Amino acid sequence: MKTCFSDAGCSAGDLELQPVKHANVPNIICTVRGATESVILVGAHFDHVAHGLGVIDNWTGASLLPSLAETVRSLNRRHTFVFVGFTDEERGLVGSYFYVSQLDGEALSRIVAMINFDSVGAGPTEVEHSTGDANLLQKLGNVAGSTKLPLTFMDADQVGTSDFLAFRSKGVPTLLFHSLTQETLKLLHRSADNYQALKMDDYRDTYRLAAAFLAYLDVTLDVRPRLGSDSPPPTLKRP
Amino acid sequence: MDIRFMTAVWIALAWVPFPAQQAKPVPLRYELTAPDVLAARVRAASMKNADRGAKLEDMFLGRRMLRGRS
Repeated sequence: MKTCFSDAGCSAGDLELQPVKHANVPNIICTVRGATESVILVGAHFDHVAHGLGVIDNWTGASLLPSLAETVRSLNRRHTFVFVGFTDEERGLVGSYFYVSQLDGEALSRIVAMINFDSVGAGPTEVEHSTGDANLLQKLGNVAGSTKLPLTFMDADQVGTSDFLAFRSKGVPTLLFHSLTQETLKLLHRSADNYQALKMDDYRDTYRLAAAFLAYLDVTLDVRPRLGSDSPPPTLKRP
Repeated sequence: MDIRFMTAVWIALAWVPFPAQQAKPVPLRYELTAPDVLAARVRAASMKNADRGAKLEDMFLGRRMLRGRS
C-alpha cells in the first residue's frame, strides 16, 4: 500500500506510517495538502481475515486510495485531503479508533467529511443511507445524477460496520461506500472473496463516481476554519 | 467490513429518491487514473496482502489461544 501511494505521487514528506497500539502493522497516511487546513479524510482498511484473499473486503477499497489521491492532486484544492489505510479493521476497527484517539480537538474539528470505502467492487456502487450524513448523501446524489453513474442506497449496518464509525462517534460527517447486497454479502470472510468476485466494470464506475464526488466536495464544502497557508498541516498528537 | 452478525444476515434495503431540486452547476476539472493502472493496483495489492493478512489473523488467533490457556 505504501508503494502504491508512492507511485501515485505521495512523496516521502507527505507519507506517514502511524504505529498503532495493539496492532502489528501501522496505519498508512498520505496527505495531499490544500489551500486550507480544512480536511476531507478518505479511508479504507487494508487488513483482511484469513478466509479468502480479501479482494472485496477490502483491497478494492484500500487500493482505490492511491488513485483517488492522484485525482485529488490534479485539483486546485481548497481542502487538505488525508488518505488513510487503516490497519486491523477486522479486529474491531483498531486502526481507525486509534487514529481518532490521536487527534486533538482542533484537528478533529477541521475534518469536514470522512469518506469510507469498504467492500466495493463486488457489484454496482452502493452507499449506506442510515449512517450517512444527510448533506454528503445529497451531494453524492447530485454527482451521481450529473455523471449518470449508478448509485443505490443500501443499508448494511445491521450486519456489520466499518472505520467510519470511529469518526461518526466524534461527530464527523461520514459516508460509507460499499457494494453489498444480499448476494454479495455472502462473499465476505469466505474463500469466495477472491479475484473472481471482483467486477472490474463496477469497480471502475465506483472510482469514477468517488473521484467526481471528492472534486465536488472540495468545491462545495465549507472550509473549517479558513486559515493561512503558512499554518501547520493537520497534526496528530505525538507521544 | 467488520461483520458482527454473519449468521443473522439482514440488509434493510433503503431506496431513497434523490432530492427533486437540482444543485447549482459546479464546474469540475480533475484527472482520472488510467483503467489499466487502477486494475493493476487492485490486483497487485491484494496479492501482496494475502499472506500478511493470513499471518496476522493466525497471530491473533494464537494470542487468543494463549490467553485461553492462561
